[in-house]
Amino acid sequence: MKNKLKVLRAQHNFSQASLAEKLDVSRQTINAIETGRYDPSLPLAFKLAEVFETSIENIFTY
Amino acid sequence: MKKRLFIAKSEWFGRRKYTWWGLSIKTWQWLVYSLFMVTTIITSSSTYLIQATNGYSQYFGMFVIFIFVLDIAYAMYVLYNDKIDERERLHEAISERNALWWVIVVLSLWIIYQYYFNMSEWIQAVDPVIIIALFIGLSIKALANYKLGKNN
Repeated sequence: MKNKLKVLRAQHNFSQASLAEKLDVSRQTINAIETGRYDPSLPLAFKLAEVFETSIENIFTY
Repeated sequence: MKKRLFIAKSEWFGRRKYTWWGLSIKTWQWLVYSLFMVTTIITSSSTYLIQATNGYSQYFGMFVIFIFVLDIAYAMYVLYNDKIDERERLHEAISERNALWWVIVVLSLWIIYQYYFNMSEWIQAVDPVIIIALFIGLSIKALANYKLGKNN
């Protein structure tokens, strides 16, 4: 699964740490998602979509 | 979830990932708290105090141990259940499973060794504690799978 998390994060001017804090996960988890090493659960994907005010499909592609 | 059960706050501790199980020292409060509790336990078990208080200091020491153990157990529960995200939880589960598998391998080999070398003698062939520990592990696994299967 690929994602646009890094691009979206840069557009919203979030650091990995600040995004991690918003989502209540560790910074390492954000990094792992960005680099494609970890696929988040559906609830976490929904949270990401909510933070970036977009749809899950716009962040993740399969 | 509450931050503390009695005295110690869960944020005073860190989760051990690479060095054994349990808790690591994260803040000075944890160090002060532990030193205070250990000092109290040792002091309350001194012969002078036990005699001076007609043995009541020993009961007090046991009470402090009780608080200390429950405090640490609760902090562990918070750190290993509430303070980790889904990825860390997955890592924790896989590493715990791997650790347990190796413990089982070693214990099983030990049982075989004990049985092989003791079966010809009139002594208990295998240490029953190891068998009990393995059966408890088996029961916990079955119960956990049953509960998890029902819940999700």
